[in-house]
This record gives sequence, structure tokens and C-alpha cells, in this order.
Amino acid sequence: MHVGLGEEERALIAELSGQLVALLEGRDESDPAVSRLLPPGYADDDEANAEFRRLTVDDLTAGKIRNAEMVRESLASADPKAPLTPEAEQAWLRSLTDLRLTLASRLGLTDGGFAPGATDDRAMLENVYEWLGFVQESLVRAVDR
Amino acid sequence: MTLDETDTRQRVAPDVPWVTLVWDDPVNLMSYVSYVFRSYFGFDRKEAERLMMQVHTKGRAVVATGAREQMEMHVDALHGYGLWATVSKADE
Repeated sequence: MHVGLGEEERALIAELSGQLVALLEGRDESDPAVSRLLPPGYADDDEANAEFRRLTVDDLTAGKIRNAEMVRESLASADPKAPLTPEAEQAWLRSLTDLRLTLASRLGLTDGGFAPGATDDRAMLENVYEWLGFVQESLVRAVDR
Repeated sequence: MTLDETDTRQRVAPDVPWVTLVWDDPVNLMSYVSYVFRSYFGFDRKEAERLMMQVHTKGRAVVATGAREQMEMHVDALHGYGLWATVSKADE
């Protein structure tokens, strides 16, 4: 399996993946997108959650950064038709999810749809979000043979 | 909590009081959630689809039951996949 994307599409995912890495490295806990990427392990037990987080958050963050970087590496590879390794497939699946979670948070997505107040910039991001969902769906189908 | 008869994987000793919950979110694709349930937990397709639909329609599903440390390991792994999961006591 390879990633059948055009040059501009590859550049867009590379750019977004770079932003995701920066977001994860900054780990600003007050940012709702960061809270969704690194969510609580207990819904209603602050003490247990603090301990869970202390034990897991560094590795979880590092794993997500590694996935995003692996996506960037495969996008930068000289041969765009080069097949993804099983490890790279997993990195793509997970990192596309992280990108979509981040965009959804920025766009205020709920079960009822995107938050109102669309501007041109927001409309473009909403399109990017929907498109990443299409890419993700294709990838799940390809991996899930 | 009741377990239906197909839930052999979830059937555990009654004194084990912890569960892994997966919560619905507006982002994760149904196909992806089902894939994660199969590839991480080893559920067959039918069971993975059943649990995925339960998350989707009921808002959450118990996907594993067992010792607390094991549930924390599952939750951490599911966060790695980008799913929204938490540990709870089984009676909550």
C-alpha cells in the first residue's frame, strides 16, 4: 500500500503534521485540543487521574510526536509510490486521527456539527477536516483487508 | 452490570471491579473504531461492530473488564489510537 496523494495534498498533511508536533511539544494543558489528544484516564476521579497522567503522559506524547514525524518522513520520501511499512501504516492511522481531533477541537465540532460563525478561513479548515476523514477512511479500508 | 452470552472475552471473576469504557466522540470514524477494537483487543468482526455501535448509539461501551492496572494499560493504549477511553469501577 502507498499513499496516493497529490503534491499539494502531501504538502498540506506535512504542514499540519509539523503543527501537531509543535502543539504536542508545547503541551499547553489549557488548550482544549491538547486535552483531547492527551485525555483524562478517569472521568470523575481527579486524584486517580493525576496519578494516571503522571505515569503515562510522557510516553503518550512521545508516541504521538513519533507518529507525526513518521508521516512527515514518508511524505518527504523520494518515491511517492513507495509502499508504507506496517509501522508507517499504524503511524498514519493514528496521526490522521490526531490531526482530525485537533482540527475538530479548533472548529468546535460536536455531534450537531461545526460551531457556527463560518468565515472563509474556517470554511477552508472544515473542508480540510472532511478531506482528512476521507483519507482516513480510505486508509482504514486499505489496512483492514 | 449484565453481560450477554456472546461476551466471553468480558466474562471475568465477579470480584474484579474495574472496566475500560470507550466514549462516543464526533470525530472518530465508525470503521476506525471497529478496526481498533479488532486489532488491539482481538475481537472478531461481529463483536467489534457490536461494541462500536454501542459506543455510537449509547454514548459509551464497556470494552474490557479486569484488574485496575490492566484497564489503565488499555486506556493508555486507546488514547494512543485517539479514542476517548476511561477507567471506571464496574458498578459505576
